[in-house]
Amino acid sequence: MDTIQINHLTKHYRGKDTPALNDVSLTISAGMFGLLGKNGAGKSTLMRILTTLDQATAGSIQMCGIPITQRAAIRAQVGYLPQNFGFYPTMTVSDALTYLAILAHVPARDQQRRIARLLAQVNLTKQARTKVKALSGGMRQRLGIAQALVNQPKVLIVDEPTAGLDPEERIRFRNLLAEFAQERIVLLSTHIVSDIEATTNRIGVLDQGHLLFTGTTAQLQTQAAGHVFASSLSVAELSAFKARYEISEQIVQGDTAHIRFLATAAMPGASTVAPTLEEAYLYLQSRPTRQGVRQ
Amino acid sequence: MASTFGRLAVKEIRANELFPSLLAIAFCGIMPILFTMHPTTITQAALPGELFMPLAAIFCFGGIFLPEQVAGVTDVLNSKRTQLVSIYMIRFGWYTVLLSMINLLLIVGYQLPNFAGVLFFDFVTKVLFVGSLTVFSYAASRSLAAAYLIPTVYFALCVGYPHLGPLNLFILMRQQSWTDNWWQLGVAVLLLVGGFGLVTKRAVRS
Amino acid sequence: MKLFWLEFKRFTTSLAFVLYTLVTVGFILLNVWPMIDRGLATAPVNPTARYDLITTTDFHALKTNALDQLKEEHADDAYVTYPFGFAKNVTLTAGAQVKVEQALNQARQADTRRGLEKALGPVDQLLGGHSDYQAANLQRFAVRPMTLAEARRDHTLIMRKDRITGTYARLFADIASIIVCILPTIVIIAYCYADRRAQIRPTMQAKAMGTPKWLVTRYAASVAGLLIPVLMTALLLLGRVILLYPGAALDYWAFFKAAGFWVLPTLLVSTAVGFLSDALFSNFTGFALQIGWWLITMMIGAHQVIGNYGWLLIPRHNSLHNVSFFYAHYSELAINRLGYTLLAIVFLGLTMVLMNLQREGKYRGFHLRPARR
Ligand SMILES: Nc1ncnc2c1ncn2[C@@H]1O[C@H](COP(=O)(O)OP(=O)(O)OP(=O)(O)O)[C@@H](O)[C@H]1O
Ligand SMILES: [Mg+2]
Repeated sequence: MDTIQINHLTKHYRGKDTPALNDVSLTISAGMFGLLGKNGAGKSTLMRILTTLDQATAGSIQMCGIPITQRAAIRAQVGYLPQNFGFYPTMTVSDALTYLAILAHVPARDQQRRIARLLAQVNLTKQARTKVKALSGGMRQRLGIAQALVNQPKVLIVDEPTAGLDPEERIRFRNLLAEFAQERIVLLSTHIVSDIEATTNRIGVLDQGHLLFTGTTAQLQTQAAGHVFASSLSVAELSAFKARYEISEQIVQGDTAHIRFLATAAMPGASTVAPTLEEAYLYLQSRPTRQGVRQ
Repeated sequence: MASTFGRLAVKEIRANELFPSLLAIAFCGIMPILFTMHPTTITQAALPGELFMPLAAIFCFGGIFLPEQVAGVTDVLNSKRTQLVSIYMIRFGWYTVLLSMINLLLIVGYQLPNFAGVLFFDFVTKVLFVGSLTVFSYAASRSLAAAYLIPTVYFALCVGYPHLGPLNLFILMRQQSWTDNWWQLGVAVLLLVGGFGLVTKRAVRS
Repeated sequence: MKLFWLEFKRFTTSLAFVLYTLVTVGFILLNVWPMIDRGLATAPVNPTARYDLITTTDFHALKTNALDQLKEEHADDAYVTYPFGFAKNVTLTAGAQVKVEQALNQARQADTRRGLEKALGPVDQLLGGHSDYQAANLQRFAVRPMTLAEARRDHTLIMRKDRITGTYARLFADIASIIVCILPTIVIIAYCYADRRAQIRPTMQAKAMGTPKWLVTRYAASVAGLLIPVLMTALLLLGRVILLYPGAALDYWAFFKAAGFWVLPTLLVSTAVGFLSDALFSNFTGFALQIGWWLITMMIGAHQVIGNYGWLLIPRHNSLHNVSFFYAHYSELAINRLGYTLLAIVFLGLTMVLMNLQREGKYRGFHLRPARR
C-alpha cells in the first residue's frame, strides 16, 4: 500500500526546449530509494513535483494511495529538505524548529519533546540556543534534516542531504535515515555514489530527464560486469589513454600508473575486474555513446 | 583600463538596470496625465520635477542595491568590495543620467526659455539630493528597507513640515530662491562621499 | 498563537521595523507636539479677532466664492482642474467660453445648493472634469474664518463632546495616517523579502499549514507591530494633554479611539499592499505604486486639509477647529474607514490566491528582471 507510483511523468519548463523530466514511470515502495544523476538531470524537479511545489506537464502520481492533486493531504504526510535549505538568520535553532513544527501541524503538546529528540538525533542539542546565522554549513544542513522529520512523515524526500556533512555526520545521518526508513518511504537524491551504496540497494538513475535505470545496486553492477578493466601503464602513456577511455581510478607509483577503466570489450594487457557501484554508474552514464569510448 | 570599465558598465547596465529603467520611464510617463505640460509660471513648471521626480529617484536609486540582496552573496560581496563600489557608481551614474534626461525632455517640452536653466539645475539637484540620501541611508544601515524608508520620510516631511529651510525639496513650488539648491547640492556631495566611503570601508553583515 | 508570537518577535526585531518606529514616532511628534501647546480651554470673547477657518454650511458664502472664481477664470480664459489632485491649466475654445458664460448667468439665479450644482455641472464637463465646479468639489468654496458665534459653538463642542483630547486626537489621526499610509508598505516588502534572502520558501511551502492561516497570522503579527509607534505616540500625547489641562474633564480614550478607528484602516491597506506587492512582483516594485497612490491622495486631500473625508485613503482634518464639520460628516468618515478596511481584506484575499498559485508552482512572480543568461 505504501508506495509512490509515478506514471509517465513529463515536465516542461517554460522557455526550455528539452523537458526536465521525460516520460518517467517509477514505483517506489517502503524503504530507502536513491535517486542518482548528473547536474541538471532532473532530480530536484521530480522532488519538487512530489512535494506539490511544482506542476507536472503530463502524467500522474499516487502517493500512498492519494493522488498528488490533493495537495493538503499530500503535504500532511510528506517531509521535505530542499536542495538549498536556509532559514531566517536571526532565529535560534530551537525557535526555527518550533516555527516549522507549527507550520507542519505538529500538535502543541508534542512539539517540545519531539524537537528535543530531533535535535539529539542530528547532534545539535548544544546549538539549540544558537542563531541560525552562527551555524556552520553542515550544522545548517542537519537543521534542515531535522525540520524535514518534524511531522514524522510517511514519505521523506531529501534533496542532496549529505552535501557539506563531514564523514562522521554522514555516517550518523545514514544510520538515522536507515532507522527511519524501516516503516516509511525515504527518497534521497545525491551525486555521491558511496552514500547510496551504504544505505540503500534500490536506486533510479536520471539523465537529461530520462529514467536510465531502476533496480537494485546489484543489478546495476551486473549490467556493467565485463566492462571494467584493470591495467598498469607508464605515466607517459597516461594522457593518451585518458583521451580514449574513461578512467575510474588511478594510482601512480613512480613511473607506473595502476588504473581501472571502462571499455566495451576486453583488450590485451588488461584484466577484467568486478565493477564497483561507482563504476557501474559511470558505465551506465557513458552508455549512450555506445562505445565505452569518449570522443 | 578605460575600455574594461566601459565594457563592465555596458554589461552591468544591460543585465541589471535595463528593466528598472524601463519601469521608471513608464512611471514618469504618467506625468503628462498628472501635470500641465504647458505651464505659464515657474511655480507650475516646477511641480513635476520637484514633486514627482524625487519619487522616481527613490525608486531608481533604492534599486542600486537590489541585485546583490540574494542569500549567500555576503562573502562574495565582501571579497570584492572595491569592485562593488565601482558597480554601485556605475548604477548611480546611470540613473542620474537617465533621470536628468527625462527632466531635460520635460523642460524642453515646456518651451519656457527664460526659466529653462534654473529649472534644469533645480530638477537635477533634486535627483542628486534624493539619490545621495538613498545611498547614504543604505551605506549607514546596510538595510534595503532603510534605503527606501528614509528618503520617503524626508519627502513626506517636505510636504508637511515647514522648518526645513533651504533643504526643502520644493524650492520653486514654494517660491523660495533657486540658489537654495546650492545647499542641497552641497549636502548631496557630502552624503555621496560619506555613503560610498562607508560602502568601501565596512563589510556587509550577513 | 505561538506562530503569531514567533512572527511578532521576528518582525519587531528587524532593523526595518526599528527604523520605522523611530521615524514614525518622530514624524508624528514633530508635527503634532507644537500644536498641543495651543490652548483650547479659554472660550473666545473677542468679536474682532480672526478665528480659524471652518467649512460653513452657509449657501451664500459658497455661492459667492464659487461664482467669483468662475468669473475671474472665465475672463482670463485660464481655468484650473485637478486630475489626481495636481493642478492643470485648461483653456477653452470661443464656443465653449460662450457656454460657460451661459452657465454662469444661470448659476447666478440659483438659490439652492442643488440649483448651483446643476448650473455649474456643464462647466465642469467643458473643463474635462476634476474642476472645483464639480458637484462633489463645491464644498471647497465653503471655507471661511469663523465668526465669534461660531467660534463659541466650536469651543462648546471641544469642551463637551471632544472633551479636549478628542480635538487633539483628530489632528493626531490626520498626521499619523499620512505616515502610516506609506511606510508600512516598505517595511512589509522588506519583511517578505527576508524569506527570499534566506531561501526559506520551499521549506515552508511544503508544510501542511494552509496559506490562509499562515498569511492571516503574518498579517496580524505585522499589523500589531506596525501599530506600536502609533500607540506609543498616542500615549505620549495623552500624557502631555493631561499635564496641560489639570483637572479638566478629558476623554482618556480619545487618542486610542482615533488610532483604531481612523489610523488603523489606512495601516491595514498599506500593509496589505506590501504583502500583495511581494506576492505579485517579489521585489520592491509595489512600493513605487504605493508611493504614487499616496502622492495622489495627498494632493487631492491638500485642497481642503481642515476637514475632507470623502473617499480619501488619508482623511484630512488638519485643524484644531471645524469641529461641527467632523460631527456632521461622521458617518461619511465611518463609511470611508469601513470601505478601506474591506479593501484591505480584498487585497489580502488576492494575496492569498497568488501565494497559493506560487505554492503550486503555477505562478513565479511577475519578474521585472530578465532571467540571467
Ligand atoms: N525554474 C526553472 N525554470 C526553468 N528551468 C529549470 C528550472 N528549474 C530547473 N530547470 C531546468 O530543469 C533541468 C533539471 O533541473 P534540476 O534542478 O531538476 O536538476 P538536478 O538533477 O536537481 O541537478 P543538480 O544535481 O545540479 O541539483 C535543468 O536543465 C534545469 O536547467
Ligand atoms: Mg538538484
